[in-house]
Amino acid sequence: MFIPGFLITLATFPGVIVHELAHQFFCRLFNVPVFKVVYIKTGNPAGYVLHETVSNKWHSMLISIGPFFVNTIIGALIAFPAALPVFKFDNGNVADYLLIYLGVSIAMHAFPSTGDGKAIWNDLKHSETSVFVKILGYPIIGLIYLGSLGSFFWLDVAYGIAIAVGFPNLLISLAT
Amino acid sequence: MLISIIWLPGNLKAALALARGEKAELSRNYITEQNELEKAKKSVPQSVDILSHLVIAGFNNGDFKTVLSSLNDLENRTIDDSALVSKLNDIAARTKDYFPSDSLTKVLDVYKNKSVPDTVYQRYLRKSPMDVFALISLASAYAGEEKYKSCDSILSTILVIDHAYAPALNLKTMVKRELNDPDSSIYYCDQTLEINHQALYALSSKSRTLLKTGKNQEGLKLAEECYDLDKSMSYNLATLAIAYHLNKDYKHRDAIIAVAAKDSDSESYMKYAKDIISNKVKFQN
Repeated sequence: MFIPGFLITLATFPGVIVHELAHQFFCRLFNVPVFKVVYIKTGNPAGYVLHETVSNKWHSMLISIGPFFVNTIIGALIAFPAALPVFKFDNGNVADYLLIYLGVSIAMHAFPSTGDGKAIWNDLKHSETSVFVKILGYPIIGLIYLGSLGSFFWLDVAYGIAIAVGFPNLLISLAT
Repeated sequence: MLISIIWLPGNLKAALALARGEKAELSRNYITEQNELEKAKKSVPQSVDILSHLVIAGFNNGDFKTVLSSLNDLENRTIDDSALVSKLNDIAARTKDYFPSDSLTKVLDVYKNKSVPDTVYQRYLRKSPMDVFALISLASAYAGEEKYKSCDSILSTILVIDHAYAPALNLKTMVKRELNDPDSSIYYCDQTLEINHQALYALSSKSRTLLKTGKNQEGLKLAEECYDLDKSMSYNLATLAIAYHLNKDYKHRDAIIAVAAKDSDSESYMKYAKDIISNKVKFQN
């Protein structure tokens, strides 16, 4: 089923905001000046962070892929206690469903955008970029583009659900 | 985020307890299941899943207070799992056999606070021969009067009607022991333990039968196993005292007798143990 991207963005806007906040957080962490942040807008991209060019290639890569970790962790943390009443206790209430929606929305926007991929690509092209960064960077770019392609087939939603709903169930099964 | 962090510990604890309970149910360890579910219920008292499994655990442990209160809490609640629904319906139907029917209650009302003569049950059973509760009541009365053969025959009738009726299986273990048929006694203990691997009465009764046949160490081991599951079960405290006595562990025997002395419920059970200890009753063959 095809649903226009802006509608998905609108419906899952908390995830977009957290995604941009994650970029911003890593800029602050590495003392990279941020010029402008757009947390949400209609159109493509749904949000962005403009920052100064980063000389350290590791820092640059982490700023680009930071949302993957931040959105995943925050999405999982928010949905975890709510997924248990809904899927384990058969006792969910409105607040639980709201938290699951938030968790899925945030986790599904964990994938770095193709814009983030392009930023890493530009860094990797430089001759002074170390071979270790390149070894790690190229597969990451590949994964980013695969993720982007997968989002046509709802991969981002599947990932969001897996993190928000599947992860708590998996953890409980493993722990007992 | 803050709400999630506040909710997380309680829900996680309950989910882990529920998962452990469900696992115990699959292994037919219903005491463990009920203990875990009680923990989970403290955090999430109205969970359909927890209440449903509490019904199952409570029924298999003979804890009808839990069964009835959980079934009551489940009224008008939707359960999606059809297999679970059918299990609960089956338990609800079988629970009726553990309480007197309306017609029997009317008959017994006359004997409030008085012991009911056997003839009352016999007359009632002529009209309602399939009333399991009336049958077990008569069997218990016969057991109390040491009419073990008559009791045994009624218990066999009950087990034809419901082969898993726990009170009949439990009473059979005792009656067969008293009739000097230890193999049969152990057979019925094992039947109960097949249904519930942690059936306390069956464990303790099997221990007594083993002790009676001179298998003192095996008997003690089972009584201790039962004690580990429930430290307050009066019947098993008496079994344990007998087991310690027969294994010549007088220190532990006296300690158990002292513990039981604090509980008035244990008195009649412990009297039997004391009679064995003082050789008033000949226990071993």
